[in-house]
Amino acid sequence: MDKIEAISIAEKGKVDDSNEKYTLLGKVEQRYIEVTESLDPEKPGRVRDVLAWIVEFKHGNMWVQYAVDSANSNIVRRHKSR
Amino acid sequence: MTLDINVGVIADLYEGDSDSVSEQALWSSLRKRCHNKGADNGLLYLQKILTCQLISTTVENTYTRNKLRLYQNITGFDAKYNVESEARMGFMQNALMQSSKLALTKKACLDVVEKEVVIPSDAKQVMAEFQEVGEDTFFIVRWHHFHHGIWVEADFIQVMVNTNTGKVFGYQEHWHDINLSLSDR
Repeated sequence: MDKIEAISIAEKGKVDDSNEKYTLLGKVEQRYIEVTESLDPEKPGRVRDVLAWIVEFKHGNMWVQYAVDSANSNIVRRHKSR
Repeated sequence: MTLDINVGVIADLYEGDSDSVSEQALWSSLRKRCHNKGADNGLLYLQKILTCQLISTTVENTYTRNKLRLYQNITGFDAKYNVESEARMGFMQNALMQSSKLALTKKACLDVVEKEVVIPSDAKQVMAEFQEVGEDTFFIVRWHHFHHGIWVEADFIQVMVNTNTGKVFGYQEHWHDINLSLSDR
């Protein structure tokens, strides 16, 4: 998966989450992140490393961040500013 | 200061081995002394500030004589270990943190860290700066983990140095080998 595909998947995630107002594309980079089996970081369980594309969108001072798994194109984490 | 307390106990009245019985008997004796002084809760305080250690054991005809020593804790030392590998993941030694008044240069502090800490080859230094905390100034260095040039988000090593004495007083580490399979890590 390349950067353009990752942005496209994150854009879809943004629509699914009703986060369309975050229009400005922020940083887009690859990182290794830890993901739990259930994808819920609050729940204990086995973990694995995922090579993910981190795609950030901004709206003023607020932001949302999607982590897209490079291996299977799934969104494995969603972060949002408070 | 030395204080001799002779405590004779019938071991059968306690549970555990001879070391454990001796320690229980010592605390029991101190509890009675606190009670006699009108300070029933005194033992709780003593157990917080005192550490008991077995010094010697002598087996005699019908009994075992254990000599214990009580140490007073004068400073806190917190350490974190990995349960499986037993590797030390971090520590904070409060005594070495005291009076950290800026006297060393940044280079001198970095030299101290280089001598005392082994940094993995795939680490990249992301911070090395003086930070003021109250009246003290600490030197803090931080590394992130980059696997084949890609940032491993959860991993870091942080070292804190007393800028007066040049002693490392704080160390935190979270570092792991990349594993794309599910594991109980």
